[in-house]
Amino acid sequence: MELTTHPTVWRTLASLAAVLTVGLLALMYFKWIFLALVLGVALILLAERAAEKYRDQATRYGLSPHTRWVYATAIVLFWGIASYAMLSTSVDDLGFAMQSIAGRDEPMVATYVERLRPYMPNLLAEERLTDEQILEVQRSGLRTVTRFLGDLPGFLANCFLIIPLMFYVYFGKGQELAEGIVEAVPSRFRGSFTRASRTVGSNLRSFFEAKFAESAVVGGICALGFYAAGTKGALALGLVAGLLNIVPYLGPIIGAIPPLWITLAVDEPHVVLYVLLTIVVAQMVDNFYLIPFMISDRIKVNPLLNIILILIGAKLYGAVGMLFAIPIYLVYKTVLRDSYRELVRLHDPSRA
Amino acid sequence: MSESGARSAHTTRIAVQVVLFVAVYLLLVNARSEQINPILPGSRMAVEMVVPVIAGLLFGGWTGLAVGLLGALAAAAVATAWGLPEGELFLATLAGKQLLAALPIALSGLAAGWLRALLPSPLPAGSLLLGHLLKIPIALFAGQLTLGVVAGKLYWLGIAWETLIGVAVVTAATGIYRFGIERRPS
Repeated sequence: MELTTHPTVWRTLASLAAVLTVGLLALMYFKWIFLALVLGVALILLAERAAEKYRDQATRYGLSPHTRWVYATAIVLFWGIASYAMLSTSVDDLGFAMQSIAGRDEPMVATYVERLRPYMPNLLAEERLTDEQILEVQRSGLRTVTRFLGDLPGFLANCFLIIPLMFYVYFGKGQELAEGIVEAVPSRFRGSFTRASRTVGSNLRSFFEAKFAESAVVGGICALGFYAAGTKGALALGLVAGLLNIVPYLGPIIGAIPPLWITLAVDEPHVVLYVLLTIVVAQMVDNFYLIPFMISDRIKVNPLLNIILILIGAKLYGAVGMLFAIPIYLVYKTVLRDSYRELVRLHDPSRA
Repeated sequence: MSESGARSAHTTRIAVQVVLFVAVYLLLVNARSEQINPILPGSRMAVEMVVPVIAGLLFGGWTGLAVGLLGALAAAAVATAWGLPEGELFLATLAGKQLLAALPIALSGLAAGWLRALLPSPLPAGSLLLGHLLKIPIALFAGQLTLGVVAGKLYWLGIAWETLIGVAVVTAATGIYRFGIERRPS
């Protein structure tokens, strides 16, 4: 398709892009609030999907309204009890393992080096790795963990304040709010505005669903593998690995650190190989099946563009940028494409 | 594709599914971790029992039955091949327990496949309870359990707990499969 040369179209599009970018920069400035907002949106979309599925099942099995209510309450209670039971045991195991590591006198990294030395004699030869270097590795690791743990309470507080409010607004006043916003749009743009909003919503929903599915599969494989390997807190560590897998490229590496760290500290070094094997299998399933056949189908972003966007996101905002590169691109793409079509229809109808 | 070709592809797919599930079953039987039942201290939860139920719910009762039967028999064979503990009765070893549990486990897989069309999720996963119940008379007969233990309230609470956790694992695993792995027609 040949693009229009009408100056008003391009001026308006440039202004729109500038407004979007300013909004995005403001959100990125308050990145923990932004993260909480995005988490809220993801949870709302997933809750909506779960409710849809539940309604389908209830209709399929012919449940009466009263039975639907009782059954839904029973399912929520069942999941509450079962999740608590499974996770508490796993977190307890993890806690005991961490306590036993924390109770040791020698630096953790030094312990690892000593345990690994027989397996990698050349790499870990005395003269190649000094005590000072070992301590520096440990200090820098602890600094990263401390920084992350320092940010975590603020993020969680934002989540507790923002997400319930978002649920209330969306499920309680969503319709009213949407109608109010549409009414505020000039009548000649209403149709295209509604279409664009629906497309943005549907694209974001597909993205979050795909990421959730990917995380669930990777987390499930990791939990199964860690359990078989005998890693302490297998379920909790599998969940963490699955969750971190959301961040492209970097996530799987960070997710592999806790199980390796714990296994190496409290178990035989050869068990580390089982953990490594689990991570490799999970990543192979992710990269050779989930991403090409499941995720690409749902997100519809060219694989090369996908990599470029993630690299740009990483360069600009680190891990958060990597995580949001694709959804931000989807918002820009839909808004600019639909606006372009509408502007061409108004100003240059011969090309519409 | 011709009819015989389609049938052969279907058979191959079922065989691959059964082999994969049997592998997961073996992995769980031989896992280095042990899930202890908090209500029955000292008793290991039979985590592997979820595998045929998952297979039954996803691919039908016959697949569940095959996975249960082959999985338990393969686990017994592997345990025997690795060497049985000396001075212990065969039926008290892992191999003996797996051999005796083969039928109940397989039937729970079959029941799951049958119930999936009749009941909404997660109720069909309750077929795990059938496996537990069928294991009791066999375990009593083989001397792995005593009537005194079975008559106690704690034993049934332990079974209920194991079923609850099993149902949660089965529901989560089937949900993950359907949502994340199963390909939808585009």
